[in-house]
Amino acid sequence: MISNPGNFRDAISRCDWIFDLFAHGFDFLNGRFIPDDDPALADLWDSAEDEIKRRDIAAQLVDADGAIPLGLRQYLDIPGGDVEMQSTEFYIRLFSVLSAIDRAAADLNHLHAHTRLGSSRWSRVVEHFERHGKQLQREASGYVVFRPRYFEQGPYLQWSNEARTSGQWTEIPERGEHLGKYFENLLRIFPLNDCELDFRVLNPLQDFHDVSWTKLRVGLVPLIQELNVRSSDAQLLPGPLLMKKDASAPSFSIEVDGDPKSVFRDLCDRAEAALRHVAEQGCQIAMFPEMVMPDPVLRRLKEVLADLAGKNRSRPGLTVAGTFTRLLPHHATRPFNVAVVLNHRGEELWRQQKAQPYDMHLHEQRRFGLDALLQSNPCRENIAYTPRKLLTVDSRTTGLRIMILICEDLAREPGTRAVRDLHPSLVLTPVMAGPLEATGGFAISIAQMLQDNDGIFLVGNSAALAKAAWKHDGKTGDPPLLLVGVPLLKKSDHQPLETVSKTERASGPLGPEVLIYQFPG
Amino acid sequence: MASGTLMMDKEVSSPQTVPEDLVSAIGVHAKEIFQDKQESGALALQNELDALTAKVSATAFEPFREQFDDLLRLLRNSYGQLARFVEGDFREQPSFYLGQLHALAELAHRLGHQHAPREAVELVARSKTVERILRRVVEEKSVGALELATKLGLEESNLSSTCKPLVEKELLRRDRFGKRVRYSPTPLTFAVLGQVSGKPSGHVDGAPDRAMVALSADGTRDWPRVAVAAAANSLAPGQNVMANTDDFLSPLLTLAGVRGSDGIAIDPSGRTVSLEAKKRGERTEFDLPKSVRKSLVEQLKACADFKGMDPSTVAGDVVDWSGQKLSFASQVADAGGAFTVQFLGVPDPEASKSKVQTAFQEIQEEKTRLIDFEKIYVREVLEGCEWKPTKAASTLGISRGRLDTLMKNLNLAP
Repeated sequence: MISNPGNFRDAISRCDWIFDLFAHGFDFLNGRFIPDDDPALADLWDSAEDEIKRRDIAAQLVDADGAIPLGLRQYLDIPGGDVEMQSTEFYIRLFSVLSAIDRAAADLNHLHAHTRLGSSRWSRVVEHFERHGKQLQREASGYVVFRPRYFEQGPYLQWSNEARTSGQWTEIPERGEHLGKYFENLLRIFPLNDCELDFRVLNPLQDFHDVSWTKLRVGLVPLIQELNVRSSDAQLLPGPLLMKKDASAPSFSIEVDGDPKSVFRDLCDRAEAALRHVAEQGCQIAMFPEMVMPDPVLRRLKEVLADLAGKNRSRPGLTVAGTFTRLLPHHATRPFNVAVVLNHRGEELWRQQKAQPYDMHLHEQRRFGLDALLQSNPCRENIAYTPRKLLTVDSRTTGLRIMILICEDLAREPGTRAVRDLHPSLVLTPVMAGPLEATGGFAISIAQMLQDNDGIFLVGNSAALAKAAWKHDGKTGDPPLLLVGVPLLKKSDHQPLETVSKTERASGPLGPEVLIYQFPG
Repeated sequence: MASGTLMMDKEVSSPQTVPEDLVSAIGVHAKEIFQDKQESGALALQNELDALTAKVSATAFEPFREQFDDLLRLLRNSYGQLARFVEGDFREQPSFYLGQLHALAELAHRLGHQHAPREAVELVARSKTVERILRRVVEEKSVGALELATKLGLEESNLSSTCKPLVEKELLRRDRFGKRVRYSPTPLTFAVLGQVSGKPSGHVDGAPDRAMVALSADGTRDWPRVAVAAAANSLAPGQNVMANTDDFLSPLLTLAGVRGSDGIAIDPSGRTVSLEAKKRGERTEFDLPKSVRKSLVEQLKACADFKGMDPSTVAGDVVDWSGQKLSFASQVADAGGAFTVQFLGVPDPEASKSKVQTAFQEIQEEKTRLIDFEKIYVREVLEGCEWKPTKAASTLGISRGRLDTLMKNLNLAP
């Protein structure tokens, strides 16, 4: 979004809130100006910074507590003519002001190591921020929010350093330029036309408990292992879930075969055994995939986590309890595809609905052996997906910004746009898809996003469709069901990705399969 | 969650619809939830309560009681807005107690988040160079890397490597505009320097500590404890002992450990060190070079102040030194006034050996580093003097003979 000089001048003259000024200033500079390394500009940069120092703009910003200090307006000195407004001198002046605002806002950034608020410092801004959904802007369109910590900070420092010193991983070389990277605390997010953003912060009681971050350890429980295609439906086995084509539309649904009160016992037992195994393995994160988690199974997971917490046993700090179709309040006519996130005691932290339905195309149906059943190109997943809302959840304990993007949402707007703009440090994606190969759609999407984002991406799949496609393609062994993206490049293939195929069995008579991934290895 | 605890799938109220007055807003959102059964108000109500929590944590830093009276009035009014929707005795509901814990945890987090992490303070405590860098950056507010290096008398490349971990730990902010790098302070810089300002010994550069303290939101200062912990932590496995070239206490402890001593005793001038093994009746004494004494004495002073001991006190405080418990004490004056550090329990031989290896490796590296740098330094002085030895010796402030020896040892020739 680029604003023209006239609009910018008008916006600034009306503006009386420093974070609105940041938004307008960013929008004006965006696409017009990047701080480049032209030696001819070095003196301009130095004099701009010296002037910011001389006028003590930083102290004025704190004193003004959200208002725009007179000294800042005087220094900015908005030119009357469009030509002067598009001069390098003004760009540098404006950028220096935005940078000063960004530095001053460090006092408030709840995701950083320390905040400096004290008694009356920033009291008006803090009240505004808390009351308005953790957003800083007032009148400007879109959002101004805080940026999460760097990848190198917080819990990652140890294992990212270890990965680099192991010689197997290296930094991703920077490509391209964007204005946002020059601001450490503030994120300018342009409005998403068709999707609401919801910013949340975990309360310390529900945040990650005392998890060791020496290594990143993730456990994936595929839960569903096989696809048994029949004439009128396809069984997702083990368990009572069925994929069915809808009679009235070229769409498909996942339904429950039998009485929900009694048919889930086996699936619940499997989920429990697998979760206990993942907990014993010391995983910080447990993942269940898409469309495998009806409410009875979800309840069992909550019980298991509560039990482990009661006995003070090792357990995941965060469990993505898969997804299933669920009705939302005020949208009771058609279910959404909803993921549930649990904390280390099994309490629900938040729910995320899918924002894009899956259009299963004919070539995919053939790979899965579903073409005879679905008989339409494409066949759409029968879910509600509007109104769209994406949640971003900040963990102050770890500095993580977490997003759940269900399946297609990782590869399409508004999910991809949200990742690009919000810089989540942990993106968790439950899917029901084919094998998660390093050349597949999800992998390509993650690799692209990691060009501009220092995040960790975890994509977890169930085995039914993946195994069917693996077999169809004539491949042997197990298909990859877990795809991991990290903001480092693997030296062997220059990819920021790892795929995991190897399964292990949890103990007990049911012995459900789980996949464990550790980084660095 | 701070927003939306135990609530799911709520709509977010847009910023424009929130009433201006906090108490009224609480009333409006409470009515939406509890009377009109609109779940959309839940997240908004939580946001209002988060704002109240922020006010409480900010008031904790207020100097006068009147502000607390105002705050209590606000809380009472807010309470009234919610209490009218209560049916029966809310003390019988678990949510009443959960809510209290929720608020307490949020408050504890907010207050804790305004205090400097120990690790960051120790990082500064371990190195005078680091402290000088931070103080200078705070003074300058924002400063180019070259200018900072010049003012501190450091090479820009050395400054860059010293600053890297400080940037990683948010003790410094580094911005790159084109080819120029600028450093500026972060909130943590102020907090840590506010802590370090309480140290008893003199300050580097005579930095304006009053301003630092005023700028810091931290009230607690426990410099001696931090100094001792920093010295102890510098020998943690995998860490760089000689990163703090002023820490001589830790390597001396490693010697005591590997020689099976109970501890060490150091005279107040830092001149003589005794390694004592009382059970074996052994005592080894050696003198330290003058170049080491000053730093060691400063370190000992910090440790002595650690317990605020008076001269008659014998028992000291206990510090965990990389898994080995240590007791610090200052002996009574008539016993020679030595400062003693005793191992509590017998040190693990393997751990002692490992610590010696670490310390030795760092000493070697430091020596190599300094020799390498000395060679470049002397060569450049000679170059500047057109390789005229007398002029170069005068510039360096050494004798001609010493320069000749130096050139021979360093293999320097025109």
